[in-house]
Amino acid sequence: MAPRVTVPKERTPINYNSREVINAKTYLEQHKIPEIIQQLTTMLFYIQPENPKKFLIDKLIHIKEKKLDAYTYFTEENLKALFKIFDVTEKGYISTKQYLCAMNDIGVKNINETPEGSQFNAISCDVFVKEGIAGLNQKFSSSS
Amino acid sequence: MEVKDLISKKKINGFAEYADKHDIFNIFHDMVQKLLTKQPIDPIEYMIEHLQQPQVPSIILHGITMSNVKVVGKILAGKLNCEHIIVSELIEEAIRTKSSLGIQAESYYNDRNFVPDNIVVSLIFKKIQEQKVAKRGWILQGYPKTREQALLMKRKGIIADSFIVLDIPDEVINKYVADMKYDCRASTPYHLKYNPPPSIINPNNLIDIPVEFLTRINKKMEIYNRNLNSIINCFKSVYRSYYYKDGIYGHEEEVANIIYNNLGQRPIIDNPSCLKIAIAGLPGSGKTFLSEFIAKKYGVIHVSVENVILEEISTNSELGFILKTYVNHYNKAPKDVVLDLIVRRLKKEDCEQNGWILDGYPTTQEEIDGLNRYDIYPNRLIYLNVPKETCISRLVNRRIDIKTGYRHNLMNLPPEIENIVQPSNNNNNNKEQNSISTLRQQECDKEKYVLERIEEMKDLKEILIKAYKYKNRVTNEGIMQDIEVDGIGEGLNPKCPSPSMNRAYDIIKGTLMRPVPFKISS
Repeated sequence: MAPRVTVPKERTPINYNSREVINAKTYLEQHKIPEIIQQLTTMLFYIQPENPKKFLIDKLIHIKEKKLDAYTYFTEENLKALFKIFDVTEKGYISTKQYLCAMNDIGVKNINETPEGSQFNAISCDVFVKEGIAGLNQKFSSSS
Repeated sequence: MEVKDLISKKKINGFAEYADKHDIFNIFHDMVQKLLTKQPIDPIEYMIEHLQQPQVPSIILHGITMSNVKVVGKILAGKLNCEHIIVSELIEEAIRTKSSLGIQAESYYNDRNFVPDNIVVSLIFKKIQEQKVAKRGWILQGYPKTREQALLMKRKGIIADSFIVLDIPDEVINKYVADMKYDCRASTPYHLKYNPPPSIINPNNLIDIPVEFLTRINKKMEIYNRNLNSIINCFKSVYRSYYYKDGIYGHEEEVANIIYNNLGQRPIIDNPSCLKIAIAGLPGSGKTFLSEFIAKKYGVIHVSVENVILEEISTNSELGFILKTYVNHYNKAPKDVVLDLIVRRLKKEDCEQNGWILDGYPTTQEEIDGLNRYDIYPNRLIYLNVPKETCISRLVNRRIDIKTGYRHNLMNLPPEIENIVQPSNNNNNNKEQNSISTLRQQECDKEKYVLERIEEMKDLKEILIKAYKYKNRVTNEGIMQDIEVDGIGEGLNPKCPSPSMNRAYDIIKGTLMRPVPFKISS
């Protein structure tokens, strides 16, 4: 005997001014959840571990035990991974053009156009990470 | 210039494939949902706990009193090997064991008043935190009975991933209750057929149902009906209802099976995705029919062996000329040529941008290996479960209108037109007769070829399962799912509630609205 099966067809519209939504937004902003999720997702894409859940658990446990700031730690990791993606032949350096493009894309507002090594058109990984973090922290400190 | 211009296209596609393969969107979606409900002070700690937890069922089973829904719950809990929590029994146990919550509940319970919501919810919460329950999952019954109770549960952090309603008409319950008998000494009702008394009780000692009992039942039914819709609203995204117009007495096992099989379903979510679907099934199962619908509705490109061969022929190339001989027997065209054409089509700009639906390909291990060699991986495989007989009858009744190229099936045309399938030689002014009389049967749809084609594909399902896999709760891998599209359009299957072909559209839309369901293995 086959039953008639019903499932909801539409979604109820969200009231963005309701108490629950504002509550949720505040919680997310306070704990920087969207930033952390973004960092974790980016990491997964760059590194592509075979078991993503285990990878995430390990990373989260690491920052919990070392009492690191989640955002900064993941930013560093991701910048290193992004650098590796550009530096396909593993020279250890990327061009200034690649550096500028990457800084622009990750959302740095006032990019330092002449970082160390730019005169040789060779930006190293450490410089890349340093400029990236400085640029992104600027974004946070200058916002009200 | 953007980063994506400096990273190779292959690498970016690799990101997308990785995300699809490991279901990354849903991992984060579920986690953030729980995070927002619970709002823990230490989100990192909570995320670790959440990711470490195995995926166990957490189901609320909701049904009207006296409908035997408890029996279904018990069978389902047995199948899933999870805890079956009946709230009234939970309260009684707490009172009996004189737990702290039990003592609080006792005074209310003895006065036949309802135990206050916060005590009940705390009892439930405590129960599901117990290690043996948390490890295996739970099915909750008998609660919530009102919207406030549902909201209280959510606030406390009791989250169900399924809310199942057994929808049974009131008349069925009333009839059942009217037939019941009562044992005065134990104050227990029985139904001689569906809930018989134990053998020590002589049925002749039972009396008819007393009026107070009937009144209580009616009141319960009234409260249930009044609150039903508002409770459903609290569980909108995980709600599923099963309507049984004659009730479920006597087939509780069957009902539990149906619910069990549908549990792999996941709620509708709006995740951004590029549809790369492969649709597979025996010849005649409806692949092209559904592919054309999906292509039109979702804007994906319909790629099939037939299409790519016809496209090549239309370019008037040398290869196209050779392929002309295969126009009526697509399955006989040389395999390497077909693979090449399909791969080239799938790598074109429009397929990469809009997504694609691959119709009736791959069908053998060599073809699968061929696609893998060129890095072409679908992110969903929809297998159409249609029995051989239906496929055969659909194929032999297929006709093509040579004027419009439109595919018809005699089973769907009005019966009187079936007889007018011969080509008309006289100048008939009757437009309708003219267009129908231009129907022809394709060479490959003739009965002898049909049986051959179906016989060739008998191992298809096994090959596809091995290569693309059903979705597994443990490893999260697998992209395959079955859908039932038998008895649609032919009006042959008495079990199918709506024989019109539109039912197939509804089924496929519902399928694509949701992520790939988990396959519950028995």
